[in-house]
Amino acid sequence: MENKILLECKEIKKSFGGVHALKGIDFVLNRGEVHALVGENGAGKSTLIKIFSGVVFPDEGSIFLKGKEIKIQNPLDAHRKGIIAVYQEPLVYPKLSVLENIFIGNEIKKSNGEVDWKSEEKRAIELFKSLDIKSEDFIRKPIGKLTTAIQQFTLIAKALNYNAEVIIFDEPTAILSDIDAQNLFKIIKLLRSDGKGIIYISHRLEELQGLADRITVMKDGEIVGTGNNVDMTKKRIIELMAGKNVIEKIQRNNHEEKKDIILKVQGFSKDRVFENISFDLKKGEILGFAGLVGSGRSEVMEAIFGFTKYDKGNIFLEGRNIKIHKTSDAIDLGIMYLPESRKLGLLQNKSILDNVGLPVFNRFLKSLGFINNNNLNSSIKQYVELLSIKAPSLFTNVEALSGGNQQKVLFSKGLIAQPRVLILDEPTHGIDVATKVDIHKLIAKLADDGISVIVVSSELPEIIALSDRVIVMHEGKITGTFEGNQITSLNLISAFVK
Amino acid sequence: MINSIKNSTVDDVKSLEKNKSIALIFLNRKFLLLLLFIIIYAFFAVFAHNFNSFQNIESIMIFSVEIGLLSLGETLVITSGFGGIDLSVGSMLGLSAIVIGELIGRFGLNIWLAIIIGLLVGTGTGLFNGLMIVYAKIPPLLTTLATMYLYSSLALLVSMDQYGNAMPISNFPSIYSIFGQSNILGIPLQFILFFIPITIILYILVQKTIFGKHLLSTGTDEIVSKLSGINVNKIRLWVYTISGLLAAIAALIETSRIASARPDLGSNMNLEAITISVLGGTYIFGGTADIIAVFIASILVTMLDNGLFLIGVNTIWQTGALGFLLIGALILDLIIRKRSL
Amino acid sequence: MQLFKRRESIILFFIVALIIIFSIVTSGRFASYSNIIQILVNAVPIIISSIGMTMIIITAGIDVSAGSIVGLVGMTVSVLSLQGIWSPYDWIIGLLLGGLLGFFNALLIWNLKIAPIIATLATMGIYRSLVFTVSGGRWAIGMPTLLLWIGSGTIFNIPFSIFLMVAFVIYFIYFMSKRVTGRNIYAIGNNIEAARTSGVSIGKTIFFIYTLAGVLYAVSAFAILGRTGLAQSTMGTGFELEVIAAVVIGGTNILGGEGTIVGSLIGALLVAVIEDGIVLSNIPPLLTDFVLGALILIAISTDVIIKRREIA
Repeated sequence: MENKILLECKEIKKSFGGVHALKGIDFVLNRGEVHALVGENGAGKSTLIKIFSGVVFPDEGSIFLKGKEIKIQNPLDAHRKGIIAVYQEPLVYPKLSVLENIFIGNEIKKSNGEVDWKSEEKRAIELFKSLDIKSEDFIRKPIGKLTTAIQQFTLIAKALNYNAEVIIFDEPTAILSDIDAQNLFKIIKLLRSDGKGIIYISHRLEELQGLADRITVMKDGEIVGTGNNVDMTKKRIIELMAGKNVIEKIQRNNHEEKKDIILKVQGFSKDRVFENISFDLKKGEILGFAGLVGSGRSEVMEAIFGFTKYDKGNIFLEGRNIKIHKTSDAIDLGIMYLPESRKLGLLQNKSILDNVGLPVFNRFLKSLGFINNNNLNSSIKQYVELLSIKAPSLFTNVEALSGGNQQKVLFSKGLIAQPRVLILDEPTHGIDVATKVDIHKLIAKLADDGISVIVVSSELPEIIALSDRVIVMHEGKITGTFEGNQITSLNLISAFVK
Repeated sequence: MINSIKNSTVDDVKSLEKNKSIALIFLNRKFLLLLLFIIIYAFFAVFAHNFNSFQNIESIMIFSVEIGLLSLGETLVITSGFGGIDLSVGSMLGLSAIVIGELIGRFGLNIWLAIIIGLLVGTGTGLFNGLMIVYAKIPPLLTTLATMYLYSSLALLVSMDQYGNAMPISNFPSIYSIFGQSNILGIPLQFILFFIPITIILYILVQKTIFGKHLLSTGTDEIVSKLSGINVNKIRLWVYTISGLLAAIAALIETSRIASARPDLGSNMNLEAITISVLGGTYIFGGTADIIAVFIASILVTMLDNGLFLIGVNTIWQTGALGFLLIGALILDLIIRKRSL
Repeated sequence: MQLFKRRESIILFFIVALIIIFSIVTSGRFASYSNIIQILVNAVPIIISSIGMTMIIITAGIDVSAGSIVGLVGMTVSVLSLQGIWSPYDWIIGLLLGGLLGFFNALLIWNLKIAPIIATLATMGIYRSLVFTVSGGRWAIGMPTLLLWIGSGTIFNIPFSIFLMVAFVIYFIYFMSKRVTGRNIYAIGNNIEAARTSGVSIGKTIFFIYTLAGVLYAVSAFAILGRTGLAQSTMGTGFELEVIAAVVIGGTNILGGEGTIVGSLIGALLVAVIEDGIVLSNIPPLLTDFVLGALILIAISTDVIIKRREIA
């Protein structure tokens, strides 16, 4: 009998710049099995998948394919070894046809070396047929113009063409319609009955019921539970994901009841991104926005800030209906948004001075557009000292700083604009624990000083530690609001995994 | 434990800084160009007859102004990023030149009024480039390729006589020659009253003003800039417009210098301006500009042309020498950047 | 494969409309057999060079040294033939020279990572200077008929260059759709990282297209030589812009990823029809460039507008 175990890894460890993403993972995928992987963002699922598909190398540990130890050099190597990942938005060669997308790098050639379109077409139709899909209509069309579902099916067909035995799905249904999702499940079951091993990442716990054979829960770079589908009830999974609550609430000095509404968002909608979002933000409050990556939280904030457009809805600042057309409008009104990635927030090859000053140069002007460098520099210095940023000088380029210090530079850039409403998107993403606590304390202090803060975070501990109130978003809608001691991991996770 | 990690990163940062400061001297474009300048100058002073004469140095100054102004405009445009490039600078020069020429020479308009209209035409052509790029979202390379044709063709049309032939204009009043043919204490007027002041103004604009900060930021990263409240469209519109204005000023000086306006003036200056700008350290993907270095580069290139001419190398080798200079500068960049990393 | 996409059909419609208008204005002279042949002959160099340029632009590159390569090859073979070297040898030398110059472009772009626009800008200057070095500033005239035959010879009363152009176009349409390299060119322009992980050898492809483009410019140079019968140091000046215009009018995306040989062929024909029509209709020829410039803007902005609608 053939070996039942298809893919196995032992003691896989990986850290990024001092942050341990994986702390020793043992994982087994059998033939003819759908193995679901669940966990919050940042639990380490993506890193594990990237190791399997050759995008990232593990620091330690070993991988076995059909019992033989392997090293996966790069994505191409992973393909050749039969491991292929299908991502959420698989736009690979958007302007090329489905057919070309399947066969680039792996052409069927005639004896004279030319691409055999006929055979490729036949083969592709067969591949799709084995997935129970009629492909004649779309196979010659540019893939960028087809639905996400067909794009995903194309990648599956491509995987089959490589004789892939391990197929990894990374949140495939997050942006699919229900019908498309049902079709995808059918296909996955077909693949399973064909003896393939499938790793399936999803946050929709309901869909796992009928689909997964086994379910593994990850948390903080570790596996906290594995079991057969029947043993892993929704309740059990949520408990495992939530774990023991070891987070202490950050102390706030400001105990008085917060009443004055500073920002009110009403009926905020954007087609296919978010729908009917309404909420209030009170003075001096920290409002957490929880949910998964892609649930539309950042998109709402970007729209409020004037970075992107929205379809309808109203924003009221201290009761006044305001219109924000561009980001400078928001900044002038006292609304500041700091994006999730430091790469999006800072000019890497420019100095601390240039970065922090960027949003407020217009407030440090002498006549004729000249910048009053003395005032600006002393003001920037004040914030750099306040946040205890460690840097050789203010002229140091941001790229030379550590992640934590870069984050603090980003904060200075937000604070110097003296916002009334400060929106922070993943404020501690990829930062070591000590700095994280520093930043949390800082956020609390800002709120104590009367700034209203919105914290968008995918890390529950952070949300729980910081927030006075939490709004949970799921797939573009608000699915729950929690306050006081209702703010628990269990409650929040229940609201955002559905 | 945490302390030791922190210390080591601080040390790392320091040593990085130290290496960088050494590299920076060499990376500094002004330093490189000045070095090159001295070498080339010394070479021609020895080998080219009459090179080191006052008269010759004066003519180098004269010839550097027009191409220098175009290169400065080009520098702003490239610095604004998103594939920013202006292939039409020479054509804008040609069109502005012939408009001024026609107004004065054929219609006998007051020269100051004619100059103002000419400058407005140049500015308008630049603005049109900017509008097409910002609002019609046509990539700069294509927009300015198209307008290069458009403007040079318009220049021909403007200069057409009743038989459909393009006619040059040469009957300028003598007072018009002050812009390009007079000097102050032996130094050409256009150098001292146009080139240097404009260079200084642009240097200050880029380095000291809010516009400059926003321009450099926009060219470095569009998204970061937008998130910082910068109106990137406005910045881009401005740089293309300024490029048009500078081309028109160059047109004024050139028509005055040669006492004639032809529609094909500037026709081979489009690409030369880009070359000088890049030689002057302008990063082709935007965000980095060194106005002074571009100023030096335009004199350097003019001097090279002049020197080669004096030692009997045919003028056609000017473009070749420019090509080698450009590649050489980029290779040097590559080596220095690799070392300093 | 669908031969004509929407874009091509629109331009084809434009061409037909223009032919009708010009024919009415010139009371039929425009649509005469000899004039149509003349238009085609004029379009040959642009079409042949546009094949290479199309591939380059699909990979999100650009080559502004095309005109200088045409000049250098044209001048070199002319001078060699005048020194008594047999024309077929001249052709071979010309093709090799074109390839070598293109190869050098690729070297700068791939090995030194210089942006294509800058690299070819530099070589444009260098190659142009070499033209002068080869010519010594003099015209080359009186070349053997055999050398000029590619551009001036006829078969069955039809200019040979037209056959040559058709052969190139057909082969490279085939090449782009049926050969792996052709497919890789699109892959690189669509997503260079994905292409790398799919095992596409990007460096090789880049070297191939710039070298091939150089060879095709050399062929264009032969065609131009035959048509004009002389070589000057300014030969090919501005040629690169006509070629780039033809390619982008023909629907090749300047940002890479999409474009067809057929599109560029039609783009080049449109340029040729306009140029010829303007001359025959007694419109001042000064207007040609104006129309060309306006055409590029119109073609691209309609593209942008159509794309915006599709997204919305």
